[in-house]
Amino acid sequence: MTALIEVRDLVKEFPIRGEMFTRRGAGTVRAVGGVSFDVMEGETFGLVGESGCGKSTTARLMTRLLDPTSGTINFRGTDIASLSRKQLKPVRREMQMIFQDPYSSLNPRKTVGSIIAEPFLIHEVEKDEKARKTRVQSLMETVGLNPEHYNRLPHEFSGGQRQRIGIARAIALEPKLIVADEPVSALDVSIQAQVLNLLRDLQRDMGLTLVFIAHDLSVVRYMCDRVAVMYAGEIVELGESDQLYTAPTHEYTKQLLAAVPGQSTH
Amino acid sequence: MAPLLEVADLKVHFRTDDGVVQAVDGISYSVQPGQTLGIVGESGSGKSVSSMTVMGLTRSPKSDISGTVTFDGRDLLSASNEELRKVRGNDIAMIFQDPLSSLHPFYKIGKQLMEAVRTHRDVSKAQARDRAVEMLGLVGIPEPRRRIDSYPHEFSGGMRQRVMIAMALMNDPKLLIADEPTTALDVTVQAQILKLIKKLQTELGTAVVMITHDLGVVADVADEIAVMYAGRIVEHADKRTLFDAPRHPYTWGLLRSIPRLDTARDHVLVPIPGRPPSLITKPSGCAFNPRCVYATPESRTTDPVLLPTAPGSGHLVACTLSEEQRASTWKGIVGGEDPA
Amino acid sequence: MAFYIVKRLLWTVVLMVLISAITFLLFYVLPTADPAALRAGRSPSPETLALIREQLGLDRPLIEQFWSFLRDLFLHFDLGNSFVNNEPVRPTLLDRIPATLFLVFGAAIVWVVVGVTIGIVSAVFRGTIWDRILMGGALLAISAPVYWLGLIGLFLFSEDIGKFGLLPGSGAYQDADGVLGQAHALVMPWIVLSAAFAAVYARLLRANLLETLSEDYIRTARAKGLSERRVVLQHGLRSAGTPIVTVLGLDIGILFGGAILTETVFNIPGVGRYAFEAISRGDLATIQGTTVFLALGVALMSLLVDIIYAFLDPRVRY
Repeated sequence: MTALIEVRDLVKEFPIRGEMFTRRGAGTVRAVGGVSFDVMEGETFGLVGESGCGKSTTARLMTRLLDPTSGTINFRGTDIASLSRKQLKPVRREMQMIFQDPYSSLNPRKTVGSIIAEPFLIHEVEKDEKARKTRVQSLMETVGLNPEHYNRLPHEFSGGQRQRIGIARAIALEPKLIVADEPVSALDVSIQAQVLNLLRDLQRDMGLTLVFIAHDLSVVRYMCDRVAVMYAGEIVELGESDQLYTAPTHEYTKQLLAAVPGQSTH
Repeated sequence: MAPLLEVADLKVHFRTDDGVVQAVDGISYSVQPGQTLGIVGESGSGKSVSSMTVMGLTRSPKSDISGTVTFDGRDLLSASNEELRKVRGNDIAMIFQDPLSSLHPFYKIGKQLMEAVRTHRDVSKAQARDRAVEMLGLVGIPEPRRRIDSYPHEFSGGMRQRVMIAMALMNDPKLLIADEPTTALDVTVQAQILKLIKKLQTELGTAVVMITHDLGVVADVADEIAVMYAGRIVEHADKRTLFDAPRHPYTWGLLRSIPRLDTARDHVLVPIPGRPPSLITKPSGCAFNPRCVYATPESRTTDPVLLPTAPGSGHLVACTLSEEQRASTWKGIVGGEDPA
Repeated sequence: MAFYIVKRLLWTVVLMVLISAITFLLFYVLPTADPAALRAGRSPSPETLALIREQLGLDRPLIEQFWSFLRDLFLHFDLGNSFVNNEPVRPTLLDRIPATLFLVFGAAIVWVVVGVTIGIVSAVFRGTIWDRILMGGALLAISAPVYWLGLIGLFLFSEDIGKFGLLPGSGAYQDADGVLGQAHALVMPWIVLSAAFAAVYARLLRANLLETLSEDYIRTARAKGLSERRVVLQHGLRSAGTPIVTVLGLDIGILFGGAILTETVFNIPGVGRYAFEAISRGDLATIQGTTVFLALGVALMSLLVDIIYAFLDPRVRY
């Protein structure tokens, strides 16, 4: 297997200015303090950790929604960490993101059809309006939405359905990599499995590489081949999913696993 | 032993512009002194509304509440607002989900804690303060005498939740209702808080109603578990029974669709199809029917009643399938069979 | 915090210089009356005009005029002399300030008390007939121009010319005896000036309070068994009222030089009227003096309000 994306010594620092709500005294917060890992083509790579560990920041750095302070992100042979916005545009066709909150990640004033069609418009693919509509509707079917709801607005859908819209949008251009940042955390438990299975099916059918970020360790185990555990901006343990869950080596990983409730019943 | 809290056929309806929302549609349960009841359900199941109603927090011109709620021998539903106010924060206390927003940001925690006790007891400021320090120490806040003068934003999320628990326990309540107390917290903090609640329960003898969507949480802390769906209780059993021999298709659905820490990599979760129903226009017959893989024509027309699985059993299920059918279906599921 | 205050005070000085500069420029850029002509009287001869110009220093380059103004202001606190009657501006201004302060602060007390009370009642009884009446009334009060309200007030209630002589009328302030007499004379002006503000504050507080009352910590307060009165007034108002403080400071600051209409209708010798008269007479020196005073007032009130805010909201720390 080849590595689709190679991250080396990635650092992200945020400045703390003497603003109203923070203590005075300048300095920086090291949200991500030098992480390195590879994501193999076709695998599902998991990033777990508690709040503030830097996993969401890492996800956003990988897709260049944030600019790294230093480090390299080698995507299919090119270091995208230092590319300009213009140079990044073709890269963005290959990598897409799915977000946590199905309620705020969709523009409430656009119809579902136009939300899913937007990637086509931005990257100037499928210029013919009719052909585009057909593609959008077929995407809707793929993710389990009714294509006749093409003209509905986001608020007319449930949380789980909105997340499906987000997924349809993400796979529209058939990217190589999808980074999913807590894609099911905001959904009801009985809906989570639906969306998780959808992601697994899509990955298998489209040959996607998936980077899956979550705080729920059980969900990560279900979805991921390899898992990296993050704490305070660093990766403390990285390994094969089964190995990590049954025989963790780092103290923090052990603590994390021990804290998951419900292990007393079998 | 007489139950501490007994809820009988509780119904809570809200009149809105879109119609009448039947948030709680006839639930009955009881809690013994010192015991923990877990109420499990998703959003829209009515789990929070039913508990808020016990405290009298859902009374409004737009709400219709019926049934009985008997606490320590008194009917709370027919009590006046003033009588209920005396019970709230005193005999029955409640803690909520989001500790970051559940404390007043402008007041020191000491003041908020002292207020809790001075509302119900005639104590001096010094006495109230001592009590507050004592409770903060009990919940594990380091240096309580110093930190009592801190503001909420100076604490982390886990610490804030401990403060909330301390505040709830200021008046030694007989019953503590915890509504998703750990959902907003990190998993290691969650473990600490659950351990704390369990410890306090043992030390103080408080009964606890733990409301959550997380089956793992109730597995750890509850003695009995009630599963709610669309405003009804669909299954009620002691913990062991619920996980070993559940009898309601919704419970089965939950158990099969939620990944566990030991779920093998190649295992496929079986989601519950469809979505939770609207509480305004509920389907006829069994509310779970549209999503139930084992639905029968009978369940489409008959509204199941919560009944014991066997005479005298404490295991209650609301399902039109017979006990034999349910038992054998569950056996099949455990054995790895696909649903019918 | 001390460092913050010093920083703000320095900025205030910069602000005053900037505003003076802009006023200066505006005065000479916009076609206003020629002060020399106004001073000179009827049909002045060119020589008279030139002489007056020289006296007033109007023939000097702008920068020089501005520079000497600043120098006088910051070194001697001298605001120059009026172009109209050559009297020093500062004493006249100082004479006028008490009346304005009395008027503005008095009105502020009235509008805060009335506005907040109405806001609370409206929020607590939201949706009922009371809420609708109060908010409707507020809308009327906001729509009514101050001078109209003043004139109606005088027409109805003025002791000398009104239908129901209840309160002292126009000009009473100047003739009043002592502080109590002055206060009596200011009752109608206070009501008139505060009407619109009370209405705005009522609506503002109602909106803030409704939002606050749906917050989680209010639910906690109720769950603790606190009386509804305590929940609304202690927990609710504390949060909902804090943004009001910020607005209040600025409103008061602006009124220091802006209560022109009220001062005119009721013949109160305040700073607002003084400034207005100076503008109509092209009296640059006085205009400058009053403008600087107003800028100072707003800046200081704004600083005061920010400091108070830090005491009210413990999350804010300078």
